[in-house]
Amino acid sequence: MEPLLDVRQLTTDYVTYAGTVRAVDRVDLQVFPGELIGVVGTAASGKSTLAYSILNLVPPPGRIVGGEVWFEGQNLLTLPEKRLQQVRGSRIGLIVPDPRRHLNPLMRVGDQIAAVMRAHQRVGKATAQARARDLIATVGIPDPEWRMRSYPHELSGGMCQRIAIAMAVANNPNLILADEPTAGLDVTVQVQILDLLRDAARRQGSATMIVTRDLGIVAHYCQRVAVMHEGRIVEVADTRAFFADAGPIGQSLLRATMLARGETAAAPDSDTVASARR
Amino acid sequence: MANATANEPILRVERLDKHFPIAGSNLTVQAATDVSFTIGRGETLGLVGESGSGKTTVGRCLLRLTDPTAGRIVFAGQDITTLSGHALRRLRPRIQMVFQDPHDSLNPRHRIADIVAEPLRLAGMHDARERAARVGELLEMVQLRGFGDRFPHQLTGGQAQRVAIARAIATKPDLIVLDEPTSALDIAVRADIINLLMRLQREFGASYLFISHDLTAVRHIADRVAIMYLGQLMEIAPAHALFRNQLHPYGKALLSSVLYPDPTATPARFVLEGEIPSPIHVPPACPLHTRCPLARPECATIPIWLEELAPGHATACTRAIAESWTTVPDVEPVAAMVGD
Repeated sequence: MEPLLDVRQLTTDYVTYAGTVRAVDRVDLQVFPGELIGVVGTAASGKSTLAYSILNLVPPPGRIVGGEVWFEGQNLLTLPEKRLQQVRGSRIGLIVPDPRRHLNPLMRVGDQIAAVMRAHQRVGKATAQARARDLIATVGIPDPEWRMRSYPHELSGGMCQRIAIAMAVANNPNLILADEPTAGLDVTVQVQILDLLRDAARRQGSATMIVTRDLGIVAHYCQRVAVMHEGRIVEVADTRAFFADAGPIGQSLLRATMLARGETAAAPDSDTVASARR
Repeated sequence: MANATANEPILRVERLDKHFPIAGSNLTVQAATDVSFTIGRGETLGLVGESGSGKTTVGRCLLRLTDPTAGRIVFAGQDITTLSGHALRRLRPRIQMVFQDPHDSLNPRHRIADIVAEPLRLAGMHDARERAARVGELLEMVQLRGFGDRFPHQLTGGQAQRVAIARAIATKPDLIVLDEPTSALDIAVRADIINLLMRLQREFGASYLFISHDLTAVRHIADRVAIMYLGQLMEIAPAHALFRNQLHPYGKALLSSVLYPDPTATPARFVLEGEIPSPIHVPPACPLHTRCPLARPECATIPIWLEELAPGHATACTRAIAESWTTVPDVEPVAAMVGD
């Protein structure tokens, strides 16, 4: 099968006064149409930077210094900004952790969803509003007519994440990048949000890349898993194969997750990298 | 650990209420209502529940960081609910706390050695040389030898949390309240901290109240587990029994939501409807009845109480008690509900 997303030798640096940190180091990764793939690793393994690099959205002092990101026949890293903006939010949806901080606090959530649609499609205000209301209903928020007029601060964290998912899928993207989509949510809400994300992607045939530290999410929602460590992808495997027989970094992540006894090889590394970053 | 439960518990909480008034109205945030439990010497009680369930408020009441609205807190046989001044200060060395975000709970302008020495000084260790020696020992115990001269901002999250733990154990307390001690940390560091806490408990025999929504960690560290929902205790049981079998629909919903890192384990999903209501408007009688798939009309009218249905395993579910459940049944098909 042709990959939907083909990342080749992608390299991203953070250039700071204390020195240069190579956050993403010559990463190759393919995402196929309709699949759910998990990218896992400890803190500072480069997994989030990878996601933002795919959209050419690395915040300064981060800088993409090499590689290619092929998506729907074009290399996103060489596209002019204007063309790239037609891809972001339209062909590729992004879901960030802590949605409340990323929604516009001064704008009603229904208007925010409508704005995403109107930025990329020729739709009138009324149509966009009506579709926004339908989307709010689809993501499982009761009373959508009333809720679409709410501001983010009036909604719970779980509801804000539902709104963020509605925004991410509003333009029927072929790929959804979800960075820790359930960080900070309670476990009962977490499964609701992940079910929703999976079902929304399935309905539209979108591929989804979930960036997470939580191997439980990978085990129950992803078909494949890519393990990152110190900026490199050290292992890519089918989920079942990974949990049956993971490589050394995968093993140490699993042990840490389960709080099993034994060496947690990743621990000192992530601590040192984190301190070098400060 | 388990055999300590036979003795007089180190802590007994009796019918604790904590309601925060809301300025400009007659409403209150009912953070804790009618909470009763005990913690044995050397025992770890896990306190779990969703955000807003009142776990942290209960922990803060035990340290008298906030004053309960009603109820009694008995620590080592002494009623500490209304202690103040000198008596309260004398109690402080015996109950300590570790907070969620270590960088927020360490004074950024103090060196690590001073941070760890402060509780010793307050507890009356006035000899500087003796204090320094003890600080050295404590830093060694948390694997931070040589970190005494540093400032908190020079530490990683995991190191800072180890400082907070060294400070908490400095006065050899009988009880340590651990409020989400690992949720701000990376998973690999989280494992280190949990194992450190367990090792220190084996060495010093302190009791822990381990407040967390990380159920894997709770399962690992706790002897018994109490589950809170909207300020009230729903279920309390030995950890191994609770993770095997629940006697309250909320316990079942909570534990069946945990995603274990094993793709072959697919527990029956037990889903609650909607989201947790506001603690300002707690539903009457059983607070879960608005979301519970097994609720009956009487769940909205009969006040709840905790009753032991299996050894050490108590539930606050009115139906479970009335029907003497041995487990929470799966959700009944809709057709069966019509006949009720």
